[in-house]
Amino acid sequence: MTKILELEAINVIRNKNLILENVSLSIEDSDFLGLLGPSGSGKTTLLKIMCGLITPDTGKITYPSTKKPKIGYLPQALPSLPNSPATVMEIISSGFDSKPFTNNHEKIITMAKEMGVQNLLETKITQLSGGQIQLVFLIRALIDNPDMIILDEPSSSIDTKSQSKIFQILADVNKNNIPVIFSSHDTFAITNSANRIACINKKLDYHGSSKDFLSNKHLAESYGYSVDVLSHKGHD
Amino acid sequence: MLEMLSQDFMINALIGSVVLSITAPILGMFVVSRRISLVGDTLSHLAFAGIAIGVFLDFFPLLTTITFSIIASLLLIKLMQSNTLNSDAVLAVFFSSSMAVGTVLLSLSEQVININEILFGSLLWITRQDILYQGIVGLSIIAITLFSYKKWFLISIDQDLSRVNNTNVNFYDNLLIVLTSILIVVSVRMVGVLLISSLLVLPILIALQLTNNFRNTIFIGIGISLLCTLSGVTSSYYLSSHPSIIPPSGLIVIILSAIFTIVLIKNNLKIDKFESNF
Repeated sequence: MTKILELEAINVIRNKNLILENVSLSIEDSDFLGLLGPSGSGKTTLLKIMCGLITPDTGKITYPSTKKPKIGYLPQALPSLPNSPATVMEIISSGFDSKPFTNNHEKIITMAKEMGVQNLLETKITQLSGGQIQLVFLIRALIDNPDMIILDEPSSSIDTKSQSKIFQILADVNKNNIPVIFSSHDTFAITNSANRIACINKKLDYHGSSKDFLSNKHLAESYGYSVDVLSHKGHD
Repeated sequence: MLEMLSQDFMINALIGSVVLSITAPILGMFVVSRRISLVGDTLSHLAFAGIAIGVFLDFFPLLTTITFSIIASLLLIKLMQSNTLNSDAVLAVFFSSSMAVGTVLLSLSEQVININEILFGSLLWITRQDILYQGIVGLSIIAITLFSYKKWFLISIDQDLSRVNNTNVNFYDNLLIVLTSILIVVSVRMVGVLLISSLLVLPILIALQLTNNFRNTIFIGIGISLLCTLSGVTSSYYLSSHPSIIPPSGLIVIILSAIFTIVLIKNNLKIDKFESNF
């Protein structure tokens, strides 16, 4: 296991409000890390720090193995593109960090087929539903073989069938030692897919395996109320 | 037609129109998709102040104008990026103050200047040297766009995604503004400072109604721009008779606006028809 990213004692203060307090977290190449926490707990801020979009007020960010990894990123707030003529193909193509004039259409078609959006490639992005737009930007995040994948609520607008397909694709990517970090409010999606869970509420309340997390104590600490966990046969 | 082509100034005007029609929509596409269409207007007013400074100092007027326009446009974009003030407030301040500086300096200048020609352009103004400058700037814009296209496209989609892809958003914004500013300065003799920004924006707004992808919008914008600019210049030649000279810029923008209105009405009728089927 190789460490890809290390955050040490991260503090973020905005308008005199503490957004993140003393958060330390390391990301390894085998990590499929689910980030859980109530609204306003600092999940998006933490993911943006990992992407290099926000500089913390104090703390240290290091990339132990190599230089800054190439990141595939899906933001929580998807771009608003009224009147944009950009097609799905053009949006996904923009995910490649390649030189100008490089044709990557075959790879895009293959991945679009996997996600079931191959028929939408020549459609304008403005003509798609919220869920379809989220799928397009997810493909964009994955298309250029990133070293690390960071997804802010990747399944929030997507139907259950597509969700399981997405998490299966992410699990396959993760098998090749590409760390996947994602946030969600869906405890089932997180405990079912992630191999590690970080529970955040300004501070890092919990960081460990998904199995340990499913004790009432951790869920209650994160959300502030008691939660019953029901197990079914065939599901741990 | 042959009579028109036998005039040297008309040949210059037609060549200038072709260069401007190709380059303005290229930059216009990124200006429109970055939602900073009014920047073009402000840059053309800055060019007016730049021309006035060049005339007032009587020191390499074109070089002075370009230098002033580049510095002022970088200051403008820096203020817009800093979020200290709202972008529209920054544009309003630059817009009015550059006109004020230009008017005062032209009044103080000892040279006899026809302000109408600066404001609206003139076919008679265009020289071979202007065509040479326009050609050099045009080729530079095409070459830079070929290498910056992906970056400008991504920035127009989302700035955060661009930054994660290691794109220096401020650098590419500055590059776009500086190129637009230089294009405006070298084209101002033909279309004037007041209407040049229409050539950046209107062909793209028309093309947006007709195309189904980002790249084709630029090509269709160029086609529309060529059609309207050449028609405007030709009409200006035939409709003008001494002493009343109709500036080509006015005719070009009238033709562009007419096409824009027709296309917009046609598209809205289509939407109404589509909605009434449900």
